[in-house]
Amino acid sequence: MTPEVAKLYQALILEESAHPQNRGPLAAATHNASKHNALCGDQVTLHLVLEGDRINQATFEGDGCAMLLASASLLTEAVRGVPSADATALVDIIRRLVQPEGASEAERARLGKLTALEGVRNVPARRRCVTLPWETLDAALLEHG
Amino acid sequence: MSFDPESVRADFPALSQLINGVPLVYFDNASTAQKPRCVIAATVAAYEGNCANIHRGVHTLSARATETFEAVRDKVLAFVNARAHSEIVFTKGTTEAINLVAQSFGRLVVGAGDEVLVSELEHHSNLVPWQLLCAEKGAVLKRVPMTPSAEIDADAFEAMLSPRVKVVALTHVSNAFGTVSPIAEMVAKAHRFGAAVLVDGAQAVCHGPVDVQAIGCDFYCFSAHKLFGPTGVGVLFGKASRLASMPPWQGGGDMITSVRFEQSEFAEPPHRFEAGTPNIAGVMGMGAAIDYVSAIGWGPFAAWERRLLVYATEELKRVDGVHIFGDTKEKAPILSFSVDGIHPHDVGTVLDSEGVAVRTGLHCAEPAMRSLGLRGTVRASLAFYNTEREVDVFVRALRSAIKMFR
Repeated sequence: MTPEVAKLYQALILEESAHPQNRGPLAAATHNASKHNALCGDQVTLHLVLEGDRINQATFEGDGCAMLLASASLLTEAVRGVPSADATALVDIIRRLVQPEGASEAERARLGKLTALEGVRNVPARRRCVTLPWETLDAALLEHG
Repeated sequence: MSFDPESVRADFPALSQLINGVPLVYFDNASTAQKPRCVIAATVAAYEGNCANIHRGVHTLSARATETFEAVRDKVLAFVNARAHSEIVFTKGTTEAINLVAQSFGRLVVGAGDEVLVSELEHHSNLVPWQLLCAEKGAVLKRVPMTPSAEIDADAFEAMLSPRVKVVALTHVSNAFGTVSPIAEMVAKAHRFGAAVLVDGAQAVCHGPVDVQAIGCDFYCFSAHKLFGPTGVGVLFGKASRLASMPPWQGGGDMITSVRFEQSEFAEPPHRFEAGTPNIAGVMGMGAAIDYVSAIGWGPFAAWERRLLVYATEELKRVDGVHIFGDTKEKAPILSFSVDGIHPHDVGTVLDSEGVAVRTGLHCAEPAMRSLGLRGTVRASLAFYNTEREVDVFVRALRSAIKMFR
């Protein structure tokens, strides 16, 4: 196995994808969005509870590969208690994180566990698997924006 | 004498490269096959030595290009056992051939309330053109179901036939599973009700001889690139009587006999359907591919693929948690499978890191996947240049993927 693929599937990713957090419907959701990847058919739905400008709760539904599940799981944890403007900023950082040049050191410092997603930097075919939940977050926040 | 794949591997430059530091194991042949040197040389020669437009110039170079180009039509005629030169139309590929038939023949014969039967097993390219036609004409698109073993349900098909059915579109060999349709029988049944039949042969022409007269179909479509030829070129076989009845699809040069400002007279088939300068170099390359395959001969070729398929199937079945779909007795060397608890994309990425190229996902056959309750599979599609040693590398890589995710 190449070092790139070993990094892609590091322990945290395997753990998150095997036991995703906050997976399921959310009756109290105020914001919802769904996206799918036409290439593989994977899809993700995101449910958010916003109180004022703050995301109080987030869950996801959907099925997909390990990268998508880990990304969605980490997302729902990362945005809880976060103002929506900060969540939108996080989407931008994730978009940069998965590109070959990556995110800046200052940006990476804000990400915590989410830096585990940067393994796709060198596996371009799998980039969208990571960004799909974040695109969905963007759409959910914009919907009532 | 048995066929030795090692004797042909050197003909394919792409096969000898390293991927991620290890030798490439190319098991994505159903997407596109690798090209032998003779095909590459023929396309180069088309630009180096014979570069001129066809059917146009009086000069020697143009005459030579035209002659070489038209000689390929004869090769294709013999390759699929058509009756006449006029029955072989060059296209961009299978997809364009199907669109041509849907939009020229389909618009001619399908009216409001008529039915078009398409199997659930089809590649999107043999479904979407018929959706467009039916939407335009107010016709009814009907799904011929597939069985749990990923074959077209021939009994259900028979029950759906009626005089309302104008066109039937069926795959010869499934791109997603490799299963083979009883195509000649189905054509005969459709003809009893007067329906015309188009056969998608994209996955069939590269695994065994195709005889359009024995099949009896009205149209047969295939691409060169799955037959070890270039991309961007393919063939529509149409029965002479069908093609003769059909209006042009695209207008332009080469498809007319005379043009007045107000209107034109159209050429006879096949030229009526070949507007504009075609992919001349691609056609030359396709001719070389047909020569190459013919020189090996279908006997040794198919026997080796059969042996490889049996070996790969046995080895794959030994792996815990693997389920093969379309594991029928007679099939093309395509293994479509799932692995318990691991998404096809994750399997594909780990295999790639071990140099093994497979396709993962829906394989442009989403309705077929849904019918089996699948959200995608891993597809290993083999060709005659693959070896048992490569199957071993593939299975070993698969085991390491499973180990990682469990």
